[in-house]
Amino acid sequence: MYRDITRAFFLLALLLLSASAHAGNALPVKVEDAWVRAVPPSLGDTAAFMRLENTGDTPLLLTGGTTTIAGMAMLMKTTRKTVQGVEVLGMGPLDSIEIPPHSEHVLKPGGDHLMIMNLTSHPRPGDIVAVTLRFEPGHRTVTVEMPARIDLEK
Amino acid sequence: MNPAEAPVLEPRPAPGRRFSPWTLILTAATLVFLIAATWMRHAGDGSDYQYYGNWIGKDAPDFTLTDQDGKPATLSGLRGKVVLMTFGFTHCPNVCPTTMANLAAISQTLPARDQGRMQVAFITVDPARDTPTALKDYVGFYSPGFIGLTGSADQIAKVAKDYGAYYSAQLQDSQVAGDYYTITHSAYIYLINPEGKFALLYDNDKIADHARMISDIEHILATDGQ
Repeated sequence: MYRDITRAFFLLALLLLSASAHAGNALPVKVEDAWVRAVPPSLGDTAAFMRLENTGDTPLLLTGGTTTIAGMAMLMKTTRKTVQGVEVLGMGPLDSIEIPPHSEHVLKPGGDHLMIMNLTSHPRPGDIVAVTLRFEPGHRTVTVEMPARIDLEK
Repeated sequence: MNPAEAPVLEPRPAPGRRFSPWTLILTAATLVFLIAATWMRHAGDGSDYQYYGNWIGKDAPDFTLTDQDGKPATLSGLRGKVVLMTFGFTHCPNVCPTTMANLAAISQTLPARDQGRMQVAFITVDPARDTPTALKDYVGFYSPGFIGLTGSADQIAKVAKDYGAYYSAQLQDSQVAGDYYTITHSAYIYLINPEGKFALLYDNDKIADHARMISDIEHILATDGQ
């Protein structure tokens, strides 16, 4: 009888371990309304925008991304400053974006965004672009296919 | 009973006055209304409409620049249309594409009868790289009807100064890929009315609300830019 209980105990332990390992590897993030801005061929850079939701119980850190259409992608924020009495917009790098549990973060024009640089191909409106996002902890990635658009409403 | 001594049963205006109190009240009210209406018209807005942009209401300084076909172009040559003007450069990585995308959407969402009465003009702050051909490719990507304007460094500097636009060339940060220079610039949108007055100023964020932009444009077109 004790052997049966011990076996049952070990089986249960294994089951629990594998369940938590699953939860640990699965990335609790939802990506919605993602799009890449289609830009004139003379421009070497563009950006990707989307809504990111952390559906998990612990904070997630978005640390960057890659894409097949360009050599480099990095997180950037839009900056505002006043120069000679006039508002001037700019950009600055972001190491990472923390998304608290059960919260969302929006990458949008005029705000934080994933800058895509040194374009190797220029997506036209309607083309589908694959963007891979990197998260910590765990060096986990998710690849999102998103349409290229000139403007969000199109 | 003597009729002359009969009591007066109906109210009558006091002797010496020709008009009843009600006539006086109505006349006074009409006068007040007319004065108020005239006064409000002089305040620069002939109706109760609240503009989305910031009302400026000054003369728009004219300029002569070169358009995307290499031809001279003046602001006064665009009289009769609502002009939406902005400063930028074709290598601008983020702000200008956003601005141009919004202006394209606005020009396409405007009622069909008014689309020919609105003109978008993109003035470069990078005349060294933004030749007429470069501008033609750039603005043409967003709409065949958009105008791109370039000129000599002095001409561009003068227009920017006249409209309070700031720009400054900077070497690109080594952290960001590429070693070309970028230009930090203000990104307001200027609305010039069909009579050539600088009517409204918009912060860059504002033009994302296309409905409200169109509302302002329609009001300018309907009221002859008051």
